[in-house]
Formats: sequence, C-alpha cells, structure tokens
Amino acid sequence: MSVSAKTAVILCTCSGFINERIDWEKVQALLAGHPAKPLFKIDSLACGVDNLEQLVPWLRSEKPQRVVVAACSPREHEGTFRKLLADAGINPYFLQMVNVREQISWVTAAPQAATAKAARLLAGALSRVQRHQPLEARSVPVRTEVAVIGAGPAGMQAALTLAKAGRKVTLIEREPFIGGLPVRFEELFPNMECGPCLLEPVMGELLHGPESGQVQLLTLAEVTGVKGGFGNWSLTVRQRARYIDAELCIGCMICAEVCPQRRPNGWNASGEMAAVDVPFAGALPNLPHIDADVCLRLNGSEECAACQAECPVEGSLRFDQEEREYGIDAGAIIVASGAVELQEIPAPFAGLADVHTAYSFERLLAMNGPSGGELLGENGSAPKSLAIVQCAGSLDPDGISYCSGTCCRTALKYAHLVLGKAPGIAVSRLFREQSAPGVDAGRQFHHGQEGGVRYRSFAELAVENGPGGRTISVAGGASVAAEMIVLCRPIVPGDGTAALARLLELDRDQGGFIAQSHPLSGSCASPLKGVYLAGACRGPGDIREAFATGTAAAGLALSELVEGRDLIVDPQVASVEPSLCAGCKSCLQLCPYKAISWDGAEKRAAVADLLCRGCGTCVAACPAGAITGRGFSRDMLRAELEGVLS
Amino acid sequence: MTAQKPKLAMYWAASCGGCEIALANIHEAILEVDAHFDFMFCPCLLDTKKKDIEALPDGAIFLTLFNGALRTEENLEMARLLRRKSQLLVAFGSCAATGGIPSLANQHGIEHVLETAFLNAPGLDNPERLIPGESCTVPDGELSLPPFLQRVLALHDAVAADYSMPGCPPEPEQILAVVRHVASGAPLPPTGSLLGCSARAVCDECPREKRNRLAPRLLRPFEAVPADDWCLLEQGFACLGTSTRGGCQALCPATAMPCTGCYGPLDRDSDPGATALSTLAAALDPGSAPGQDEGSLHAGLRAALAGVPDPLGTFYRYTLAETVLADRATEVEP
Repeated sequence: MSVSAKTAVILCTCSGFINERIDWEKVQALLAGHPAKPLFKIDSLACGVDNLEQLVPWLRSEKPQRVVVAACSPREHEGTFRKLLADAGINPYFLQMVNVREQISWVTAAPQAATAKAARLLAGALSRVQRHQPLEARSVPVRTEVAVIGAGPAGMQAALTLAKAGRKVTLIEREPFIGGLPVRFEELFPNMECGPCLLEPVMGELLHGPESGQVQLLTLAEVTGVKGGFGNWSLTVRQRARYIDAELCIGCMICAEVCPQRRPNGWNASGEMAAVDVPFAGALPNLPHIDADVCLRLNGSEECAACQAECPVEGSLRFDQEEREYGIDAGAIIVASGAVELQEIPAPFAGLADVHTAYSFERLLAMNGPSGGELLGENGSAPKSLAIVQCAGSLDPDGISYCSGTCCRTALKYAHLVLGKAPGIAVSRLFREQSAPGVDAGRQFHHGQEGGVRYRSFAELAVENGPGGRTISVAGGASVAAEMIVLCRPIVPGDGTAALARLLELDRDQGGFIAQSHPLSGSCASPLKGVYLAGACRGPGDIREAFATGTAAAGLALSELVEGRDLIVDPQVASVEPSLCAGCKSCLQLCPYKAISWDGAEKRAAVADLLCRGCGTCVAACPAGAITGRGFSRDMLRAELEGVLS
Repeated sequence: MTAQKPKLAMYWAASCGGCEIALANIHEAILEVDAHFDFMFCPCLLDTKKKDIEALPDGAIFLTLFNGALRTEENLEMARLLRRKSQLLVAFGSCAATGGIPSLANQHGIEHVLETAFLNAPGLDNPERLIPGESCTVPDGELSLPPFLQRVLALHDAVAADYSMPGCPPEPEQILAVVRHVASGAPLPPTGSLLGCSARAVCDECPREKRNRLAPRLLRPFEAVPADDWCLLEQGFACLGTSTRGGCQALCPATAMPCTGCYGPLDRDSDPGATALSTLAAALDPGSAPGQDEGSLHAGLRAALAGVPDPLGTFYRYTLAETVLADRATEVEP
C-alpha cells in the first residue's frame, strides 16, 4: 500500500481557540519526517466561507491526492470539507478529519502535551488517509407513495397531510369504518367538543375532499406481508369481504332494518346490531357490512333475501364478494395502529351490574350509542351516584406498571358530562395518583377535584351493598356511593400490534407498544428507516397527540422522500466480499436495519447499500473478516493506530 | 541419485507427534514424497542428527516442515538452525503457526507450569516432590536439560517463516496437495501465504443447515444430543466453525463434534479469541433488553455463557501465542 500520495494538511486555529493550546508550528516540525511528506497550511477558520473560497484555488494549484483537516468534530464539519474537496476536484472521501478542538484543545490543558497529542493524532490520520478509497455516492429513485396503517385520527391526519402535499397514500384500516376511537366519543376533553363533529371534516376531506383522489382507503384490511426497505417497500394487504358494493350502495341502511338476524354490537360494548348493519350512526364510509357467520344467506342456513328485496339500488348487496389481496408499493410506511383500553373487568367488580370500562361508558354517553346518549343503568333509570375508579389496574408493579396518562382527563370529563345528563348525581373519583397537566385542562378542575379519594392498591377496594345503596370503600378509609361504577382501565397496545411489529421487524417497548427511534427526539420514527410512527401505537395518548404525531410522521415521510430528489446512498456502508463469506449467517440476525440479505443459491450474505446505515455492527461481528465498512476498513484502522503509536 | 532430489526435512519442537502421524496418513502416497524429495531429516522417523544438519551448507534443505511451538531454548536453537539451512520454512500445524495447545501455558508462569506438571496433576506419584532442573549431577557426570523460554512462541515469533500450514494436525489430503504442488515446480504463492486451507470459514464446508435461530444459551457437549443436519452453533454448542478457517472439510461438525478452531482465525488482523467470542455472542438470543435492570441482564448473560466453562481454553485453544493478551501478565496465579 502506497504511503507516498501527496497529502495536504489544513491546520485550523478555530479563530484562536485551537492554537491557544496547540503549537501548529511545532506540530509541523514534529511531522516533517512523516513518509507522507505532508504539505501544511495553517488557516484561521477553515470552515469560514471566505476561507473555503481561498482553500479551493490552493488545493487546485497544489493538487494533493489526499487531504487531512485538523479542526473540529467531523460531526460538525466533515460535510463542509468533503464539499471543499469536491469543489477542488478531489474525491470527497480522500478526506480525513482530526478533531483537535474537542479532543485536544478543550480537554488537554498543558500546551506541550496538547501539541504532542496533536502530532500523534495527525500522524495517525496521515497514515490512514493513504489507504482511503475513492468512493462515489450513488443515487436511486425513490417511491414517494406512503402506506398508512390505521385510520384513526393519527393515521387520517398523516394521510391527509401527505395527500395535500400531492402524495399518493394507501390508508389501511382493519375496522369497517374510519375514525378510530374518538369518533365513538361523544365529547372530548377539555373543551367538550363533539368527537364525531371534530373528526367529520377530516373524514369528509379524506373521502370526498379535493385530495381524496390521492388516497386509496382500504377498510376491513390488514397488512399480511412486508418486503423491501426505505424508498421501496412492498406490502401485501388482505381485505376481508364487506359483501356490499361500495360504488352502488347509498348507505340508507334499509337492509339493517329488515335483516332478521342479530349479533352483539362489540363497538358499542353492549346491545345488538343486524347481520348487515353499521355499528353506530354516522360511521364512515357510510356503508353497512355483513357478518358472514351471522347472515343466514352467507352462513348457509337459508336462502334469505330480506335485505336484497328491500334494497333500493339493485346490486348493492354482493354475496359473491370474496377476500381480496392487494400489493401496495410505497416509499415509506406510517404505523398508526392505535391502542385500546383493557376491557376485562377485574375483581371485586367482575360480574356486578352497572360496572363500565371507560370505553363502554363513553359509548353509553354517546348519542349514537346503545342508549341514545341517556345515562341509564341496567334497571332503566338514571343512577343517583357514579364512582369513577381511576388507575384501575395501572401503576401496579405486578401488572401494568405505567400510568396511561389519559384517564384523569377522561374522569374529569365524565364528571362534567354526567352532571349535565343527571343533575344532582353524586360523582366521586377514586385514584392512586392524579395529574391532568396543561393550561386548558385546568378548566375542568372544578368538578369534584376536592372530593377525590386516594387509594393505595386495587386490593384495598371493596364493593358493599348497604341500606343506602351500593358503595365502594377503601380499606381503613373513605366510602363512596357507587350505584354506577366506571373503571378507567389501562391503555394497552391493540391486539394487532404484536403481529404488525413482527411483520415490520420493529421492536416493542416494555409496555408492548412499538418502540421509537428515540423516546425524546425521535418519537415519531421507528429505528427502521422509512417506517414512521403516529398516535397511540407509540404509547398511550389522546387525540391531540394523535393529530400532532400524525402531522409529524407525515412531515418525516415528506422530508425524507422528496419527489424528484433521488435517494443519495452514502457510500460509507458495509460490503461483503463474497470470496471470503462462508455463509455462516452471523450477520443476518444482527443488522438493526435489515440491510443484509441472503443469497440462498450461492449461500452468501449481501448488504443492500440502500438500507445500510454504516453502523459497523456486522463489520465487527463477521468472524471471517469478510465484511468491510467502506471508509472504515480494517487496514485503515490499523494504519491509523500504527500512525498514532509510531 | 539421492543428491539430485531436493531435500525435505520435518522437525518437531514442542509438539505431540500428531503432525508426523498426519504425514504418515497420506499412506502409499508417501512413496510420491520419496520419489520427489530426499526426505533426509525427521527425528520421529529417521536417525539424522543435529550435527548432520549443522554440517550442511546454508540453504541446503529445500523444504522444512516445522511443527510444534517453541517452548525451550532447544526448540529455539533448532528453529534458527533450520531457518538457516532451509530455502523454504513452513510453520506446519497449529503449534508452529499460532502457538497451539502448548501456548496455553502462557496463561501462567513457568513455576506454575512445572508445579502443575510434576506436583499437582491428578494421578502423580512424586513423594520426593522432585522437579526436573536444568542440570543434574549423576555418578556419570553432569546432565543438562534445555531451559524453558519465558513464553511459548509461534515459529514466526522467533524466525521468519515463509508459509504457514494450519491444522491440528493439517489434513493428510492438504499435506499431499501441498507436497505435490511444490514437487510439480509450479509457482509458489507469495511469501506469508497460508497453505493447505480455504479462504472461507469451516461453515462453507459444513453440511449442517442454518435455520436462522438464536440459541437461548450455550450448551456443554454432555447437556444435549445435537440434532442431525442442524447447525451446532444454532443449537447452542460452542462451535467455532464460523470464525475458523476451513480446509478440513468440516470433519468435526459433520460428525457432531463442535469445531475447536484448529485451522486458526480467518481475519489475521484481529485478535483470534475475541473474534471467536464475539461470534458466539452473536449466536445467542439476548432476550428483550428493555425493562431489564443491569443486574438481571448480567445474570442472563452469565447464564447464557455458562456453557463455556473455560473461555481462554475455548477461544484461544490454538492461538494464545498470537493474542494481544499474551504479554499482559507474566505470572498469574489462581
């Protein structure tokens, strides 16, 4: 390996900060005998625009083959100096930076030691840079379409934001309708806005707005396969049959009125619905769907045609419809699959009358819910007292250890709403901890804030039936009237989350939610490039967070996949030398970015440079030394070490 | 007639004799060796003496296969002598190439080694607690033994070796191929090359299939009967095939014996044992880290690695002379 390439060395003083400690003249003297015969130039502030302008002609006239810049962290200015090399007609990867500011002048106090250290690090860089290879960044076209999984507020907001930017979006929803959970909520904390009314314009825009042509909505659909990577995903989506022709049906729901069959309405958490029906009034798209197990025609019991006979548009009912499979190509995927409240009722409340979860209570309060919005107990009359048990299963070291962060708000909202529906009702809130931060949340603090009852563990709660009616008592403490009970259960990942995470090869966090690339600075991105996260799939959250993160995830997709801007593939990626690869597959399971593929015929691993982020994990792990990190090869690192130690 | 043929020598330093047996295992092809070479020095088989070698002009031996590590001054003296007398000096077998089993003694000082061998090893009967010394007076006069070197060395640590031929021992087919190549007069590979082995790992030759599974923990060989056809490492056995140079036709893993790494490391730039260790670590299922405290993570890792009770002897079984760890301590007592 040649060590005689002409090498220019730019010694930056950083406006005097660096040469306060390092004597650049002395460093030059110490390195005078280096076999690379370095050509030095001291610069007062090499990153300055004027200085860069002067460095270009200097490099052009000196024509060095390699350049070393001793200045600040490469994180700060490697891009700047790579561009300098490119401007001077030198391959930008023939650059090696030495971070003499952070690693020497800021930390090494004695000038003599700092100068000696600078000379050693420069000697390392001089040896290393001789082994640099000319690398070329590659550009590839990217797909700019986006697949959004989940059509709750977060997914809808993401889809709409993307559609407004002209992007084609496929919005994939498992339910027969869109809007997620809040579309089923009568009013929303803290301003008591109507949930469906808030979402109606968003849903309307998605379905019928000027950008609706950009959005392909697939309801009753689930992702069953994912291939590819950033800029080029390929999804398989399976759509269950609705048995309704979406183009013909006008949504009059006469079919539901005449259908002889009934099924439990899980979306209302109580009551029934017809075999062909919508779960609640106002569900969009305005189309019924048929439960094939319940429909007499579809389950083969009899040739029932009640709905068909009454349907005003011939052909709307399609008993011949079958499951469909779609192949969706997209540059990015936004996961917005949401979360749910745990619905199981624990002891000592299990089996009791008039015990609700927050979700079933939400539906009870809703005008399009099972009671038409009336607050009614199972005996058909309004309760005289309501006990809201918050933290019901949360903050439990043996169960759900976290606080969902939403039920204080929900409970305050219920306290407000029930007073309107049943004036004079006694409302109590029981909680282990409470917190409802935010400027506008304070408006709801007048509702029973002082009457809260603290309990320490769920086991302390007992339900008693006394002469004055049903009560909940806290062991050794207060007792509150509880004719009707609402348990605010923990918010947990939806039941499809685990499968979806497996499919996308995403990790999940401690609570089972989809892991974020960083909980603070990357909460809307997954660690997998080209997969973004929105809404409560990231962890419990409310509608405000759903909208915000939906916008954020769309923004990330827009900023990374720009129409007409090809994807620049960093050449400093890992590459496999096939003649050395023995096919041990050690690397395959380690790559955090799923960038390594397997050639089954040749029994060799290969790195997709489009997906590789150059982290070096496989380079270090390859037992055969068959994987090289371009720009960080073993011989470069060895040369650098030998240079430093020389 | 004999004088016309190029001279071939084979020497054993600190070795077990297995390399000579491997040569003998080429069976009737030994006649080919005789046809092409004047096989003139091999203390195991022939009666040539050291003084005969000393009497030769420098470079008189065409090819010397030097096996065994350098444990004693005598080993070192013979290495220097044979270097001088040979045109081509090959570090033959793991001990000469990378220190081999004898270099495991580098974990300890000489005193510890002698005490273990002569006083503490199970089954010894040494009531007078005698340890051989460098010299000893007997009625007939003074007897001497060559002193130990401070450390066991690989051949190239002491003299320039032209080639290395790894294996414990090198496979007979590979020995024959090398002998035939040299005999044919075909161009020799660049100095420093490895002979008689593959550029790829043992896995390349191993018939067992990978099923893309991570093992929950490492197993000791007695803990389970390995499933046929399935990668031993994925089953949890500490097979070093992934980080070991092939050329042996995966003899051990093919017969359900985890590879112990005798053909040496693939990546000559990195520390051999560290590479083997990191490969094994990469084959284990780390479990889900989020939510685990550091203590339980460590306990989990310790349990997973409990299947390797002797890490140094496992990961550096043939290479301890080559590791950067080697010079850290001259005396490490348990």
